[in-house]
Amino acid sequence: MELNNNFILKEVAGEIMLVYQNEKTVDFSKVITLNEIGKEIYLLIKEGKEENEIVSSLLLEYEVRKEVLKKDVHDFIKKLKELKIIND
Amino acid sequence: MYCFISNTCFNFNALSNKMKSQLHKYEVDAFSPKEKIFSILSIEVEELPLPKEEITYSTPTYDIYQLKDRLIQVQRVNDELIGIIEYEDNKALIYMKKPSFLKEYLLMEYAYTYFMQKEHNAILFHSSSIEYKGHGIIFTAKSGTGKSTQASLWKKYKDVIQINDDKNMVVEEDGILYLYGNPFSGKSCIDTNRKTKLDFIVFIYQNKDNTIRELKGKEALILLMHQIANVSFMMSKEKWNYMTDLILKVKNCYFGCNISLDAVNTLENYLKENSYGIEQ
Repeated sequence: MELNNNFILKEVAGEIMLVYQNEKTVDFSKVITLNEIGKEIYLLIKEGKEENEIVSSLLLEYEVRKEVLKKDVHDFIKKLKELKIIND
Repeated sequence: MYCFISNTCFNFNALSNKMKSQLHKYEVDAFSPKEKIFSILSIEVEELPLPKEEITYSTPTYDIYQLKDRLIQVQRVNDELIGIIEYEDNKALIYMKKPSFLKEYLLMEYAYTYFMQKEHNAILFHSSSIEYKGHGIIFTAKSGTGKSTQASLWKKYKDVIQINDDKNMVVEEDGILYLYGNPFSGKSCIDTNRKTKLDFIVFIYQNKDNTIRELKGKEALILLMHQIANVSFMMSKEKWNYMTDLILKVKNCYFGCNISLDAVNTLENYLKENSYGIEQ
């Protein structure tokens, strides 16, 4: 998975956001808020981790059933693709 | 005319009298030879020297031509071509067909901002500012909301200095943000050649009663994004991110306000209650 590098991660007063910008502008209409886990998944993708690796990594950290986590991670990644935060 | 603005040396040549008188507030006799000087020079021409090269990119208000040794900005207002700025090293030439204060003001503001944002960690902030008891306070909102009105109410009722009524230059120096007065202060031409620490940002909106609260995260970022210079040929992504991160660390509030002494008192009390170092 490859991230669209036109989105940058911004933390403001504990809130985590992705802001769309390219060399010419910042698009004010594209600010996406992430929660802590969202941020973690985003950063794992950035490290080059694949979906199953992300699930294994999060399983070590959170007390959650694997099937539930698997589905959540899958849905989240699907959403990032829809928003073009992950290049297809 | 030599001007020292926002800790930076400029050499201006303005054509309109009103622009000259604005710049006059920042005039100095000379600079020491070792200072780096940015020249912003207006030139009246019969025909605007439109570049023959390909446009590098266009925005709704200007076209940019990135040439080998210089950068050219062709500026429009409401689809009308008003002038051309040619940037080369530390010099900006401003070409106008029929010079007027409004054209010259707009083009000089671009050139000034270009050099400031290029040379420093700086960003232009659409806002009206005051210095109150040594603290720099910025009122910001979209045009027509009442930034200037709030600043002028403070001027009327409290002991304040108005730094700039429309465009504040926010500059980072040793990790601290400062506001600088500059000649580009909008319709009112209210500005003071002064530097003050940026301590507080007041995002305002019109309201019958005066009501105030802190703004968080996304709300603050989105309101801020609309009022500061965007990423462009004069502002890199990296610098924009650095400056917005710092600005978002400044204390802020979201202030619904009317036009009254009560509005001033409400904000003043809020500043005191939140112990921003403003004593009785």
